[in-house]
Amino acid sequence: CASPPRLSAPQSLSGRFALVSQGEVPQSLSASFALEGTAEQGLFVLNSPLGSRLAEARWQPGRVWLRDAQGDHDYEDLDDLARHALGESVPLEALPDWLRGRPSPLGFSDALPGGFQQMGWRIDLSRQAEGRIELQRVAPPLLRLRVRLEAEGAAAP
Amino acid sequence: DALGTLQAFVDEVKTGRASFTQTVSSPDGSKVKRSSGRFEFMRPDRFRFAYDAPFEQLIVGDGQQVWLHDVDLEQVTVRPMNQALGATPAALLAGGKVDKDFKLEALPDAEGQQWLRATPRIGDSGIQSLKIAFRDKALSEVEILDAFGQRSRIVFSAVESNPVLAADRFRFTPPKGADVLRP
Repeated sequence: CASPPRLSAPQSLSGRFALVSQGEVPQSLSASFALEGTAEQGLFVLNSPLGSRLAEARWQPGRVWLRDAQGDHDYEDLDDLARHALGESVPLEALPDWLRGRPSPLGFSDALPGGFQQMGWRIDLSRQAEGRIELQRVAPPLLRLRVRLEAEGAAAP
Repeated sequence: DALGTLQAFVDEVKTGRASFTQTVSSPDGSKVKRSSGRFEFMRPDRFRFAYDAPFEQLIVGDGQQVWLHDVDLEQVTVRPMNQALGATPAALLAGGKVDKDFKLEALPDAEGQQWLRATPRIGDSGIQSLKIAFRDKALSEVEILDAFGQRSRIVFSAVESNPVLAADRFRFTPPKGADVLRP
């Protein structure tokens, strides 16, 4: 079937997130981010709390790579990339949809009170009105991202 | 000259306090984020960035560790200080031996301020260079250019040199209920 007509490039999202994981290597990361694109093609920018850019994760059909101070690093897939960039396998390609409060086109999802579940993650939208979305992996050990979306940044002066 | 001013700042200004506004512009300049807060420091290795807008975030360097409290997301992250400080603006502003961490170079005066460039000596810090400015010998601005070309400009106001600062300004006790995680 023909894919839906290409909408104008979706607005970018930006905000902050707090990642916590209690696997063998407990991990916590607090950073600000910017996200553009879709499940097929996207850019996830990771900034330090003081505002400098730490890394860019980029994906497009046929290529997935991370750009940091040392240059570009290609990966097999986004899961592999996320594990290196964030220390955990966070489904980056689902974020453009999840952070807009809707399931990703990449698979089935089940509605839940206050959100939905997809790809082994529970997406809590109960505080979406405040711009706050919480993503938690269903299977233990705990892996959770608390996200605070900011109204789109002021355009350049 | 500017190098002399920086050296005097490091030698004579043992503590400091100021308000700041910060503007972060994306490499292509299309996106700009503004924030503001209060900055305090005590040489040689303590500092406090208390952001109050657009969200509350506290960064405290207590000499051993750097604490980050995202108040809104109720999470506290703590990192060993050496890993976090190295080439950061905090090391340039609050550090004891600035020329150990940075290669310093005076720049021409601009906008009535004395400017210097500080290039981190450790290579892959992700920070291309820092610029620091003084107005009438008082700290006035810092600009961070990172490896991606993203620019963060911090402008200080109401700068106080050598105020009496209680030691607990640079200690952090996690509030009850916030997740505290040490990677």
